[in-house]
Formats: sequence, C-alpha cells, structure tokens
Amino acid sequence: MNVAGMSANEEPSRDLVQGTLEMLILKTLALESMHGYGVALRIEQISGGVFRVNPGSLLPALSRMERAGHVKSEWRATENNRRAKYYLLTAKGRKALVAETEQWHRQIAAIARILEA
Amino acid sequence: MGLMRNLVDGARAMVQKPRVERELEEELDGFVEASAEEKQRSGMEWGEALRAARVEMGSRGAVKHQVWSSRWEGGLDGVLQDVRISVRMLLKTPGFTLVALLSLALGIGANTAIFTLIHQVMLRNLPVHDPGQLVTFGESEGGGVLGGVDLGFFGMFPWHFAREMQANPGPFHRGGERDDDDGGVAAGAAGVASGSDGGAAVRLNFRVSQGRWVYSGGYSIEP
Repeated sequence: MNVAGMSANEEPSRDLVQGTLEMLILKTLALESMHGYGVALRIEQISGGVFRVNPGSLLPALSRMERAGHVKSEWRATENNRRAKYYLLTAKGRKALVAETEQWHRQIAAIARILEA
Repeated sequence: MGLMRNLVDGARAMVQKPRVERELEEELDGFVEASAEEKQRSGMEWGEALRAARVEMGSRGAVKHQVWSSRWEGGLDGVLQDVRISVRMLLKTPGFTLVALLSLALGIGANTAIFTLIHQVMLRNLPVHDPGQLVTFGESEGGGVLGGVDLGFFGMFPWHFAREMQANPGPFHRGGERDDDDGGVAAGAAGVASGSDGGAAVRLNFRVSQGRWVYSGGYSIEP
C-alpha cells in the first residue's frame, strides 16, 4: 500500500476519474488539514493504492481551490520540525464538498442504471 | 465578491512573483522530502528514497508551470512575456521592423484613401434635399447613374447646357405632353432618371423640336 513508485508500471490506470480530484481533495482536507504530500498520500492510501495523484495535478488543483476560496493555506512546522504549507478547508469548501458529493452520487447512480439496463 | 478577491489575489501574486515562486519552490522541496521520508519508512535507503521521490515528481519546472498557469495571472503573465519577447525581437532587427511598420502604414493608408474615394463618389448620396428625384441628361442611352452604379459618362451634356435648361425648363413644365415632330430638325435623345436609393430608373425620351426639348413618353427600366 505504501510502496508508491514500485508499482508505477502496473497495467491498470492509476489516474483519477476525470473531474473528481477537487472533490477528493476536499474530502481529504475535511478529515484534517495537511500539506500537499499528505493529501496525495492519503488519497493513495484510502483508495487502497487504486488512485495516485502526482504533484503536477495536485498542486495546481490546490492553487485553484485556494483562489476559489475552498481552501486556505498557512505555513506550519511539520512533525519533523520542517516548514510546510498546510491546507485547511474553509466553510465555503465544506459547502462545495457537500454539493460535489451529492452530484457525484447522482451521477454514479445514473451511470449504474444505464449500465444495468 | 469572489471575483474581486480573485482579482486582488492574482494582482498581488503578479507583483510579488519572486515571493510566490520561492514559496512554491519551498513547497516542492517539502513535497519531495515528505515523499522520500515515506519511502524511507517503508525500508528504502535515504539516498535511494530521495532519488525515487524526485523521479516520481518528474520535472519541477513543469510542475511549477502547471501551478502558475492554473490561475488567471499565469495566463496574463504569459501574454506579457510574449509581448516582451516580441518587442525585443523587433528592436533587435530594426530593418525588418521598419519594413513591417511601413507596409502596415501604407496598407492602412491606401485602404483608407480608396474607401474615402469610393464613399464620396459612389456610396454617399448627393448633398441635396431629395437625391432620388435627380435627373441626368445625356444623349447616350446608358449615361448617368443607375442604382448607385456609374454607367459611364459619354454623351452627358455639359454644365452650361444644364444652366440653359434651368433658365428654360422646356418639357419639365409640361411633363406628359406630346408634341408633333416637325421633321428634320429633331434629334433623338434620352434622359435617364434614376432613383439613387436603388429604385427603378425611368427612361424619358425627348426630341429637340424648334430648339426646345420635347418629352415623348417614358418607361421604367428595371434595375
């Protein structure tokens, strides 16, 4: 589960489902505020290694969300006493998470109905 | 409100670009280190872990570029950079710049001049009260202006002839009347009256009879 990088050449795609990155980041930050790598690691771990987020898409997404007011950032000391940029969910971000989750459930329910028809 | 905040934040980031870059740089360092620590925890050696973490991140420049261009000021910054480069290139090759500028200036100038001429001569109505009622006089069948298109100027009567007609209006005071031909001295002539606003032209036939112009019937010419 935590051997990221050793299984990079695996056959199945480890990309996120398109358009879900921001929702997953919001959900991850709703549990606790963390730095960029923390978010990536958490998504990978909770998904059981199915999804992996690389910094090339994670950091731009965080930057967009910060600009949209869904998250805010502050520099804090890590557990190893290093400075790291921590991201926190804002009230607006919490609302966005609820809205996006609802929409996501509607969409997968609809897709499931189509596939089972 | 959100838009305002976005604008202000973006403008601030533009002005303080070095600071923003530095922070991004630091964040990337932190990302790699945290990633390496995680790998170390799972049994890799530190050097190897660090290397693997860097490989995973890929090109730092690309990541930085992606972050920077995920916001509007990134796009604006790109445009400004393009402008800067263009100006520099133009300054570097003054000969090319001069030629390009001259071509543009000549092109725009020539276009303007030609359009002004066409506008004055062909498109604009004559500066009179009701230009649609103007009549041209001439001996040719195709003379005058028909529906805004110049049909040629052959056979048009000269200006002093028009003044003569003004002093002695002849048939225009007796429109519709038909005179008998008194033989020999009459000469065929036609005037084309055209509606300058695209209406059908009217062709009026005249004859010269005893030194006067005599109207001998008219009909429309469909444009």
